[in-house]
Amino acid sequence: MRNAVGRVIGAACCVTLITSCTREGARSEDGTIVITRVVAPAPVRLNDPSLITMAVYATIANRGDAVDTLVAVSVPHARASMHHTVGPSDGAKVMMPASMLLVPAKSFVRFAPGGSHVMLDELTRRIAPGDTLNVTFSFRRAGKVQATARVVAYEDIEKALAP
Amino acid sequence: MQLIRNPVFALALAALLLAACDAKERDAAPPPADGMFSGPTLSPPRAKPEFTLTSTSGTPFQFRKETDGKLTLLFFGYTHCPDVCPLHMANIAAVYKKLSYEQQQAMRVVFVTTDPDRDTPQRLRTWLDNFHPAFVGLAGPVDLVNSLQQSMGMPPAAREATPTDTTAGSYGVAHGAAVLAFTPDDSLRVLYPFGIRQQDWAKDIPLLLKVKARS
Repeated sequence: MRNAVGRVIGAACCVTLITSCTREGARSEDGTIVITRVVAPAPVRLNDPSLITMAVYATIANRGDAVDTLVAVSVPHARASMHHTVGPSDGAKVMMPASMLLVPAKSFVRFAPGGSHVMLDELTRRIAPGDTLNVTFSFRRAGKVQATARVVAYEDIEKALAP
Repeated sequence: MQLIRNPVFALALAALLLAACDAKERDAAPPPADGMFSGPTLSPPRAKPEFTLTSTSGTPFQFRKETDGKLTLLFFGYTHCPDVCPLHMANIAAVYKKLSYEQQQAMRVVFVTTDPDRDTPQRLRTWLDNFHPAFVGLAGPVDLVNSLQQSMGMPPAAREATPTDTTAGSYGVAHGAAVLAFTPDDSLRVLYPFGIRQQDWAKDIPLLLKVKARS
């Protein structure tokens, strides 16, 4: 009887731990970088997926004591991955290439609609709502962090990114 | 004839006619007050411009004539845009689909491409159909489209290079991110910036539809 109760409690603890890890998002090996809310709007359906561009959004938290730098993002299904910083210019939204992104210590940065975002193009397969994307974020200090992006319809992005 | 000469009947008829006129006045909303809409209101509002561009079916689209008397949401963007353009269209479409048939008929959503080199009529139509088949797609020479934007207080579009030119024609297009709202009285009244949410459109579209010219 005690063994059975012990097994149930142990299983419950494991489930709790796994669930909490999932909620906390993808982490670097040293635990300094935590990436959450990794979401991608499903690209618009066009005849040729290689002609499509899509965005990936995420929240990147740096729990470490030193600034880190995001130097690359990669996704296996796209021939090119990059991150752009979009800033106002005379009222226009300007897409400016960004080769790196600083993540301050004890702070976070957000890839969000209308702001900085990861842009994918030259996709080699069709991607639809409900799919997932394996996204690898490469940091100068923390190394590589692999995260899974949920793919949702554009009209569901508001809900997906809501705090 | 005898009935009309009857003063009681004549008075009753006159009263009915006046009530009908008054109701028509009441149906039209009062002029919008500041802060009524979710985007900045132009004061004074500007007249709807006249211009002709080419639709996705290859036919001329006379903007003023084709949208006369309708709530018109006008946006300048391009189909390779990864977030601002599709998000605007998706959010508007999500609300548009829930409108009544009459409300849908009383409005137009018009998307003008700022990237005519890559946005062929077929690509533009296919892209817009992802959001709603009733959305109008227009294209024209870059100089004309830029002058139209500037005439409406929007910045002209500009081509931006991307760092990974792995294929020919890989570039971004800087463009204004606001949706221009022309009320049914054919006035440009509200500029909706990027970030406007579906709940904002759901609140504003019925209000915008009511802004009509007083007869």
